[in-house]
Amino acid sequence: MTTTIRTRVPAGASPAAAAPSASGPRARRAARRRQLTAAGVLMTPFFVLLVTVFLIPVGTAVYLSFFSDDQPGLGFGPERTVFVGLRSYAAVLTDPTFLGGLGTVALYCLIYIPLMVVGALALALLLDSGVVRLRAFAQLGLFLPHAVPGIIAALIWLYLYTPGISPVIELFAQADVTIDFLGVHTVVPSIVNIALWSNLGYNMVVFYAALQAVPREVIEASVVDGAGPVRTALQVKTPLVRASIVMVSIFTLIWALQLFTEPMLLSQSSPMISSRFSPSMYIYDAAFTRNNYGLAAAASVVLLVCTIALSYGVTRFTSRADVSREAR
Amino acid sequence: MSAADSSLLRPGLLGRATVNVVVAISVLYTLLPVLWLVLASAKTRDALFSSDLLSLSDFSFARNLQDLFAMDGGLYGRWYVNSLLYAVVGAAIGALVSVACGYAFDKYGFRHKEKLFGLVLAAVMVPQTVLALPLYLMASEAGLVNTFWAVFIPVLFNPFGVYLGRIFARGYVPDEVLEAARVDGAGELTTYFRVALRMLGPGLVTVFLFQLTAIWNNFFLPMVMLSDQDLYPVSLGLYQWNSAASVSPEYYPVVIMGSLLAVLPLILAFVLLQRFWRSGLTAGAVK
Amino acid sequence: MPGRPSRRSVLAAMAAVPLTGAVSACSGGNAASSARTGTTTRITFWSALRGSQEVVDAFNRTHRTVQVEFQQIPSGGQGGYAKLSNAARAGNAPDVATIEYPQVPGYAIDGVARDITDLVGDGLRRKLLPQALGLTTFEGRVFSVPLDVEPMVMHYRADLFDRYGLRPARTWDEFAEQAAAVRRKAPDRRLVLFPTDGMTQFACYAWQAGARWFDTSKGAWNVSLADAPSRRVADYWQGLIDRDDVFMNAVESRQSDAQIGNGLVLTRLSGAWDAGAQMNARPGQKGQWRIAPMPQWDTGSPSVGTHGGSTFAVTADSRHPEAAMEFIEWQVSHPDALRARLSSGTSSQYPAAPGLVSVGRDAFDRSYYGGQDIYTLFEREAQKIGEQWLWGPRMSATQKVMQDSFARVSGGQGSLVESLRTAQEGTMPDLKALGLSTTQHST
Repeated sequence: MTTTIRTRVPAGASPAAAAPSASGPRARRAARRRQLTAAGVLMTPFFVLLVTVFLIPVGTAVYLSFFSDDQPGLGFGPERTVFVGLRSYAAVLTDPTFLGGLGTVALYCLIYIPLMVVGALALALLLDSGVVRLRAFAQLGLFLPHAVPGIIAALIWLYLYTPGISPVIELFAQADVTIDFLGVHTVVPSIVNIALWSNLGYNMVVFYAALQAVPREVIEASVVDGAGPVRTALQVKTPLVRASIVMVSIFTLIWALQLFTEPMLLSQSSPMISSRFSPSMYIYDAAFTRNNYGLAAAASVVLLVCTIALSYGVTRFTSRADVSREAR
Repeated sequence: MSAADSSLLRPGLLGRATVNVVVAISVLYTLLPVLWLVLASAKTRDALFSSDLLSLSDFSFARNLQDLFAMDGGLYGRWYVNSLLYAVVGAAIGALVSVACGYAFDKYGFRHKEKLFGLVLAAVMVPQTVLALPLYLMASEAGLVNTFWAVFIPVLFNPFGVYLGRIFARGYVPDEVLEAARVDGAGELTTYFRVALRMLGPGLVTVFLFQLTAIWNNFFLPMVMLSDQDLYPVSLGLYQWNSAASVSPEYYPVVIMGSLLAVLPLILAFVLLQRFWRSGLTAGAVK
Repeated sequence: MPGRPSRRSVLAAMAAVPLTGAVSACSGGNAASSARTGTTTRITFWSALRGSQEVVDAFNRTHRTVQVEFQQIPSGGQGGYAKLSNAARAGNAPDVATIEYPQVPGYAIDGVARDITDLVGDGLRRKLLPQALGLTTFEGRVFSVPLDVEPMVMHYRADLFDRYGLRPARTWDEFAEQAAAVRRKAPDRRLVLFPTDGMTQFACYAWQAGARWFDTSKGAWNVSLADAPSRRVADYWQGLIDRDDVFMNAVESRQSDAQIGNGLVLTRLSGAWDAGAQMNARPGQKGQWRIAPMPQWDTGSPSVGTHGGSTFAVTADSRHPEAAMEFIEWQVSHPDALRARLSSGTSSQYPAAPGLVSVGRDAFDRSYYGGQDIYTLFEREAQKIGEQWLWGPRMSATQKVMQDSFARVSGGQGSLVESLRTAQEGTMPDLKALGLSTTQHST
């Protein structure tokens, strides 16, 4: 692996490298060779990792989804490795528990992503409006949950969802409202809440940083035009941080599709969360409790394709929107 | 924003009050659960369930702390050390590797560079759960399952760090500096380690911090790879104790106390290294 | 906590490896390997069963040519099965593994359990209850040897039965009437619990009613989790649940412990082994419990299913299958083995070798059950075990899906019949992805 990277880099030497100051083509060639060697040395460790913990595993997942150690009939005979085509995919895509998991994640994304992006952006705009007292404290306070590991965020909220421990439920009870946060219809919103709590502040800081970079003249110009603070925020500032909005949306989407930690923890306490609640939990279950590698690999590839397609879709959609806006 | 130009933008009194109330509620939303964790960690098990959080009568913070480190023969201490090893060492090595690669992407030209970079970016998108089974099988083949390395090696891989590294190299290390070094006859690698790396310092810290957070948070990979409790990181250990708590409630106070302690290192890191990660976020956001 | 003793023993075993020096090269130095030292064959044995250490000690004391090294592992669902699968994958499974009946076909298909047909001699076959051996035999090939077989019986609170004027129900109809009566007379009490984590209990009810969730005729796995007898059972319990005549929650939970401990639940339907478990868990309830046969659908041809029970398999990795088999045979059929196991504490397991029943009977302290001779009852019930039953190739998965669905029923979503169908739908993709021939019936 190491050698392939190293040889590929010099072989692909391009004249685009920074021009060396030494005179003469030979000296220049020597300089370029030195640079390519340096590039090779600096990049090799990362690409060794990339190959071993990324490319080979992805390749293995794809391979496992098409090949299987089969025993025909009842399955008690000797095993042989055979190409099974799309059989594992057919099994996954006809498995109601997998489709249910996809549905759950779709619902989760539909609730979570808009809430997250709008909420974080709104908070960033409010903080940027210049009227918030104790702004540094507010920012740090909002950011704090990001420093809480996902499993612990889930633990904290699990306890806040548990009758008998939770002061929240107690408060509701005093107002004569019984609420079951882990019931049939509340469990997805409850998980959304955990994710929102964990990441709202982080994304707010991302937006806030982008807003800080908006040139003040632009804003002043809009004020001169007679725009109020709300209009300035929505029509001037927001479009200027589109790049951040797209980036936050994509990262939020990628993370949301991997949904695992929170439901895995909550499943210890809620019968409404099955062991195949989300695609990631399905993969875990198929691979490590059902010992069904073909199924797990096919589900992995399906999840991978969904992730790439959706990320690509978001990018395309937003860039097309860019173009149409500029055309206007 | 200076006082002069922000006064132009200032909304009316009512608007100002609304803004502050909304932000205050949001801050309460993010802070109260943490506050609950702090208060609950000082409670005995019975007080926890009687949910009178503010009474100080059954204050047992020290007791809970003691119990935490005594539970199951001091497992928690082991987990904590493991987490520190995985996260601090892993993030340090990972950040160095990623930033070096990002630097090379920025400073050197070679064929298919952007295609390779695209591959790096694609790696950012791939869900960890997709890699879990093949990684497990590979580790199993190599006899590494249920060892330190099974968790440690995969967490070193940080493609987003390469992306950040490239941006930081562009921003912090002017090409003129490299030219000057070359004129002085310094080797490329010497220049990188002696000059560029120092200039990349803040970026390196940012990548380190992000990776530290990611590894400290990591749960899926250890869950797949480890069955020996002595190798668990805190996240997996607390998960297991919490599952035991539904049968043996004596675990509740230690899980809560353990959670509180597990939050501290990251909060500390974020507060101490504030100015670095803020710049990192800006770099990532603005491009 | 589950897992802790195992970790210790793993460490202990790992520490012991360099000292014994008897590690074969190709197994990579793992403690779970077996090796021949001199004339003694050493084999390894994993089990979560209580008293296994005592059995191994007794075996090692009385045998010279075969010596067993024992490792306590967590019970199957608590990580024991994952451990076994992982070890088999890494090529260092023990020589002898403990597998419960539902998981036998899965481990046989995965190639973890060895085909031991030729090693099971006629002598051993004759000693074992045919229904028990039938559960570990597929296509005429034996994959593991039963240790115990556990006919389901009705454990009941005799004192509370007296108070409410009840006698153990002989039919399920009578049982349902009693359930309603108990709720009427004592609103906080119920006759019985329907366990949401109880696939094995439900399977046992269905088995009794004549269900065949899996059969292997015509060279395929024919799956019918919702066949007519199963639907009948599901509808029956659904009625009890809808009328709030039974509790519905997990049985492996503090809630269930409290229900039993506080006398809120009057009967428990479970395997014979549970008598001993009850004695150990609640010594304070001495004298309050008795045991009766299960209610029947058809008293003319009574039948029962089994609930619980373990088997021993020789793994495919084992390099000493004959020695492993010698140990297994002794363990399941020799009176000293059962005596050794019972020396570790009270147990009411019903041996799969009927010849050992008298050993169990003699060792059992009858006073907890008011002097009742429960072993004679078990013996009668064991004869009624239905012979039609087979477990499927991925029972752990089927179990999870079904229990997830049961839990939703307890939350007011769906019905038990739908749970059966859901479990079947959640099982078929697994079987298909494994490349097995399958058919489905009566869905």
